[in-house]
Amino acid sequence: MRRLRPAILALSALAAAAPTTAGEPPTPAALKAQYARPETIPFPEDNPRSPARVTLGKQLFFDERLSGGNDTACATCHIPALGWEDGERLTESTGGGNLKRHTPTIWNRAWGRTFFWDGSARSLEEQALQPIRNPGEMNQPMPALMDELRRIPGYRKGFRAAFPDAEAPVITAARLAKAIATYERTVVQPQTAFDAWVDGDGNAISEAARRGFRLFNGKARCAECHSGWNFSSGAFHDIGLPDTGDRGRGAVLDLPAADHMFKVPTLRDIARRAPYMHDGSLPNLQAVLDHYQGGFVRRETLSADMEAIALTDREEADLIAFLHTLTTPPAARGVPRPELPQ
Amino acid sequence: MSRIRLALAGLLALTATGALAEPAVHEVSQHGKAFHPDTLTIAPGDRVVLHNDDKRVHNIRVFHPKLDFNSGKQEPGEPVTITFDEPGTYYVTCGIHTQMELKVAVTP
Repeated sequence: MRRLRPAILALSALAAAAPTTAGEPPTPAALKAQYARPETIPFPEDNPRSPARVTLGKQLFFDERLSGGNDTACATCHIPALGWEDGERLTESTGGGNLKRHTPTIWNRAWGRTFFWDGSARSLEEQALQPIRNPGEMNQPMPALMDELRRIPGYRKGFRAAFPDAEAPVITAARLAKAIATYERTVVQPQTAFDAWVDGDGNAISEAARRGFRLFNGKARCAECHSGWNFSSGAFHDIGLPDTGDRGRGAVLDLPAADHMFKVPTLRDIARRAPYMHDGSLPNLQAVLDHYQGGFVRRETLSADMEAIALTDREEADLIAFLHTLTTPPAARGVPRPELPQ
Repeated sequence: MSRIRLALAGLLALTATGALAEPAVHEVSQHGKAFHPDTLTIAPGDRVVLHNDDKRVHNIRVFHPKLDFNSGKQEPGEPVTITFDEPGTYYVTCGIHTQMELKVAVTP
């Protein structure tokens, strides 16, 4: 047997040290580079982007006829003007009561690896159909929806344009999912003040926000999980929110060690997306900072990254000032509702 | 005698070309929520040992038509071994830290 481990460990140690001198924090320029936006949106090989597919996907996303009661669209809860959320702690369920998890934003999901708070869907295509079928959300059985869409001439034309090589019947659940997923991949947050600063405009954000960015990457340790240009590693963590009986990632993996774990959300547009956390339990950013300063439940599944931080009042204000630089500029908020096929 | 010599020569030739070599063991470290290295090219039958050198629990997963692997809970310090018998390209990930990705190319 060949034993490769010592050489590998030595090599990886070298690689880890490469960006800066060993033991020193990254330079401001190197740190900023970690937050540079990607230049292109990734689309999967089996669902490439086309203008017709984006148009169709947008119509479907905004169309209340996709629900059983013809009264709820994807956009009913993912409201563009509210950062693609709905501002509710927990959205009212179709069957009464509330859904058990807070509506997440759909900003920048093209770069996602898993979908839903618990990561139970492994593609946007897989994700797209579930709220439609879910009795508590859009409550629409797929066969009934296919019948309904096939009766709409505008959708027959739209699906044919979006999937020109498809065999009849062109309108299927799989193509419905592909079209919605294609549109969702185009939902990319516009350039923010923070992005302008990363791109070299030194005056794009305030001195307080610049201090907040240093805290974010340093003492406050936010970047341990909220990493990269989309401010999410995509990992799952138990951050010590009170147990509501929702196992989260643990149920998906059938792994008790992953109980109470939920996906690290993006922080893009975070100041406009209150309330916070998978259960919507924290009403504002100050409550979030209080949580991370020791207001969490300690238990066996608590993330190894959860260590209580201690911030001064000024540091809290700086951190919040930084988070506000991730806000979509007013002129770029919302999207025109599409004309729906008839 | 000549038959024995021929057999020995054949055996030496096989060994020299690696045809009788034992499956290799490739060791990978997990630390900082990443695989090190993050790509491997191995032969069919080789084993990959994934060490959890992190301070956190991992859950090694492979989703592939030829290999559906789930390590369950992998505690820090605990190794997990995967044998790759079939040629192909596999992606090893962590069910908890899904940003972790190890690409394993198995080529004859």
